[in-house]
Amino acid sequence: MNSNTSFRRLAILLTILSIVSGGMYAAWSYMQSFQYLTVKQEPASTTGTTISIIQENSKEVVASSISPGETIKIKKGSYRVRFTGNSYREEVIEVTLDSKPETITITPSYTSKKLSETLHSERSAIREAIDKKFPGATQSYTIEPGKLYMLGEWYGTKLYVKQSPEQARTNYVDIFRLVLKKEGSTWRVITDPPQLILSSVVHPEIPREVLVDVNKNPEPST
Amino acid sequence: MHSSSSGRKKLFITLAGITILLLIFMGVLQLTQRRGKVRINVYKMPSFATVSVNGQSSSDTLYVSPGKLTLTVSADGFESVEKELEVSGGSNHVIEEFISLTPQSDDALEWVNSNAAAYQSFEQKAQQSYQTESEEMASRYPIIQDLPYRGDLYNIEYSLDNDEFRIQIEADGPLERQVAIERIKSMGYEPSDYYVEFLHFDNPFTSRNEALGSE
Repeated sequence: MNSNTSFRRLAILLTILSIVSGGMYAAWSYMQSFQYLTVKQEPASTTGTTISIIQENSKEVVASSISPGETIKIKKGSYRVRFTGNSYREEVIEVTLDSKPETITITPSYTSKKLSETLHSERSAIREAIDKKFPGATQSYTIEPGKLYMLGEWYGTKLYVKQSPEQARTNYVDIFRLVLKKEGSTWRVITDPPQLILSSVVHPEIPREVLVDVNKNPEPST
Repeated sequence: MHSSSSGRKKLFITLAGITILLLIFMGVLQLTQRRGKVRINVYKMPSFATVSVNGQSSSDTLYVSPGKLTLTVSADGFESVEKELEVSGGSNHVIEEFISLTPQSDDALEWVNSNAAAYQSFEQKAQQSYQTESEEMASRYPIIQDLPYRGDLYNIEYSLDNDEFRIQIEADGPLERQVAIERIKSMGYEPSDYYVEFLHFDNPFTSRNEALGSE
């Protein structure tokens, strides 16, 4: 009788222990299935923009609007972090959350349309900055209209020696690349002197996408 | 008797304490002095050759601040070797220099002949070091595997001088320079990611700036 009671007690104890440890394991596994993701944005302040996080496989939106710099805890897996906004170029960053927390950085850029519109109003100030830095260059060199990049604070263009149309048909000239940056309300030449190829090693401060685009050779005319 | 033994014990403990403190102080001082400096290990042949940096005698292992320096290795009867180094990088950076001197006098030649095995072993070590360095460089700059490229119109080579990697393009004209850049792209590399140097090319904007005394 006594032995039966003891056995029953032991069985109950073991059952409780198994349930508790099973529950703890399930809770631990559940906690382990999550990971931290920090989404940074540089520059942090943009107006009318949204950052959302979408699950790669299910396409389920796990966070519809998160603030720059925010850290969220979501299930491990693959996600797409999507940056959208009026006049902003959509940016999608793929990230896989696994054993360690991840941090991604969004660098907002305006759409080409918005940048072209902005360039229109900045053109004379840019040309003035180039003239001031390289006096006489506008007389000897053709300066391409160029492009604005990112949030309109970067400008890149190409310069080549002026030629008559006849010369241009047969004579190749070197193409020089030039990048300017708007600091406050002033445009400043960053790549002085202009170079045939601008390097990210020499100019780590210039966003790579600006350098890659400015360094592109013009398409051969057919 | 007992008090004299206890006194000796105290003296011993005090001296040991002072020694430990001094050792810690010297260690910290040495670490502070080496902070931000680059270590250069000079391996030389013959082993009795002397090392000097910027004309001042030095040990085989030296810690220098980033910048330019002249390393000289010399020994009686051997031709001295002088190397200009431009040191860059942080405190974790170690430069290894293998310098073997050429005998000039009969005595030096005799020394080399009687130490042929040591010379051979030195050359092997230098070769190994060079190979390791080349492999490290290939992993840092994969384009090395596709260079040099020598064509009819242009050559694309590279230089690695004191940790500064440059792609060097030698071309006669503007078209050739542009085609060389396209060639790099067709190899699967982005020229913007490298320091690209055009040999025998004068940048008119540089000379213009110099003439104008531009800032």
